Amino acid sequence: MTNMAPPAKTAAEREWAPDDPALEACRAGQPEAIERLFRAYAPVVQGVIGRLVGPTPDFEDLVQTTFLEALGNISRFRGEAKLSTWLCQIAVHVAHHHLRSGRVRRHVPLELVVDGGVVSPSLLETSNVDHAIDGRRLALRLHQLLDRISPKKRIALLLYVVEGRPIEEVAALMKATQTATRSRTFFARRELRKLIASDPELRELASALLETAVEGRA
Amino acid sequence: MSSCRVTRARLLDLVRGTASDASLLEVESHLEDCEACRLERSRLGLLGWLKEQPAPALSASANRRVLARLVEAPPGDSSRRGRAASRRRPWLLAGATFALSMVALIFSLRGRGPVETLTESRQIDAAAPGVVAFGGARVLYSPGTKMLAEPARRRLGLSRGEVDVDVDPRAGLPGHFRVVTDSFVVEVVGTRFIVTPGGVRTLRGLVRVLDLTDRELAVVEAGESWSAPRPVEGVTTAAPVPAPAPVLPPIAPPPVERTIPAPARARAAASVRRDRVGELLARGRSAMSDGDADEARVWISRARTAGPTEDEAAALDLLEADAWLVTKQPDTAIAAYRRVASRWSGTAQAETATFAVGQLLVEGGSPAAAETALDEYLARYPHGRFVREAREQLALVQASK
Repeated sequence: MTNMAPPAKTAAEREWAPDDPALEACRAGQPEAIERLFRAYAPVVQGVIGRLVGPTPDFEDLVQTTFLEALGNISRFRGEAKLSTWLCQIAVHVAHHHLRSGRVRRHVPLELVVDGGVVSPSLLETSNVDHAIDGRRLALRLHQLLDRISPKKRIALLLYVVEGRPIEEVAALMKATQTATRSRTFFARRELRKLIASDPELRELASALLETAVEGRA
Repeated sequence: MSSCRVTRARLLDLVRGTASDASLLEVESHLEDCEACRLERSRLGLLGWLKEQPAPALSASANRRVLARLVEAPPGDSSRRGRAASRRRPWLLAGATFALSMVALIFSLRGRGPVETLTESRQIDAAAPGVVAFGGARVLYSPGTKMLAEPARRRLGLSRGEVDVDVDPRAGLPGHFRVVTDSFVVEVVGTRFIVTPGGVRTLRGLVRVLDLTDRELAVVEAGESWSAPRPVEGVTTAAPVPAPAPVLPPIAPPPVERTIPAPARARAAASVRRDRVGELLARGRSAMSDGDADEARVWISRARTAGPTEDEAAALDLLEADAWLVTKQPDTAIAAYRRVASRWSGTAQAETATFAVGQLLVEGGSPAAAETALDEYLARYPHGRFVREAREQLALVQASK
């Protein structure tokens, strides 16, 4: 249940300074300041939550929980890290808590079914395929596989590879040592490789999609 | 040429987009001769694909909902309070009285030690005000309140009196906290609200009011209140809480006292006449993919009145069942999917619905029922579109036994 939005990197341009009066206003619970905070940092938080947890009807709740958590603890924000980093840390915590609960809901929404059939590799060859739908299905399938990897390993891998964050930053976000973080990404990659290998449909779907993407770019 | 171990480590840099040109050349050279590493690249390529996807984001309406919950009822905003008060005179007195009694209660309870946390069901028939905590909620009750607290079900059955409920969304507990009266149900994720058998008033966040069949009656945001409709004369009303009550007669959803403008609904109403069923269905699907079940229901409803074919009617029923999922009512969704499966038997929608029932039962932690449903799917659709998923789910269910 997500829309596609511009990447979160623009948030850095409007990064709040630790002494920004709006932060003090947020601490005082002023609605305008809270709204400014949400508008400035929602893309960052949504990006982290969405990428770590994947397609789920609980996305909205998780974003809300992250901001509630942040607003509840904003008096403890001293500016040692950037505000976006601090919010990401909370988002990672919320995502981890959700994944660890083992109750991640992943139903197959109707929009993934095209004209009475689920998208298949053969359909990808036809010209009337809605690639956005294929992408959603692929993302859903990938996250279903990732659900089988422990949350800590999964989060480390996704932050490192998909979010493209340096290992030191991943370690800081997860409040873990760099060694532990490296180890988690290594084992997560190994487990994911095995899971993909045991899923022929995903392999085919992925190669067909990747080929289509390459042809599209050519 | 570099070794497989070095190449595989560099493949990750390749996927992350941090590989240097020199490293890239070495990797390419190795891949030309190594089938195993090419396979590794194709598998890691999936993560690379995920990386290339735009960052997920909430729909505009979902953003508005979250924001509303974050900024609701600021204490210093007197203009908003004034406007709200002018529309809700009956609640003003009741609310003020209750607030005063709660302030008195809080002061009277201060110094008596921590709030009692209930771990087992308890019937409370209060002669004096009190406060208990259970199911991630803190419940203050007024004198004369009769209620049943059920921590295991995160449910409070209210027979009479008044409760002020503060639900912590960070409790991380499964399911929604519910307050059940004899004529309606209040469902909440995280918020503070006051319930009497006659209505609900939301102080913070947002709650949904349902009838006893889980049909949505109203969404009540912070600062709003909702009053239960009077029972229809001559009709048996519900049984006392907490026993499951008979269904109330069909009632029109009562209006929320302050209606927030819904431009999407207005647009839907204005353009319906010139739209075809297919287009309306597509709009419903689009709204659903944005997570906006309310808007989707508007399109579904319009499409039904525009003379759908059988196929379209089945698709509309299926979409409506999906809407229950979006609004997080899995039990109602399951019932709706079952109706689709039986009513439109033989259609693609029936197959989707049959599988959805099994999947939801797995997610809902009902292994026995899930097994039956998935078996039923595989028996009815041995070459169906969800056979592989159904087998996987079945294996998971059987393994968890």
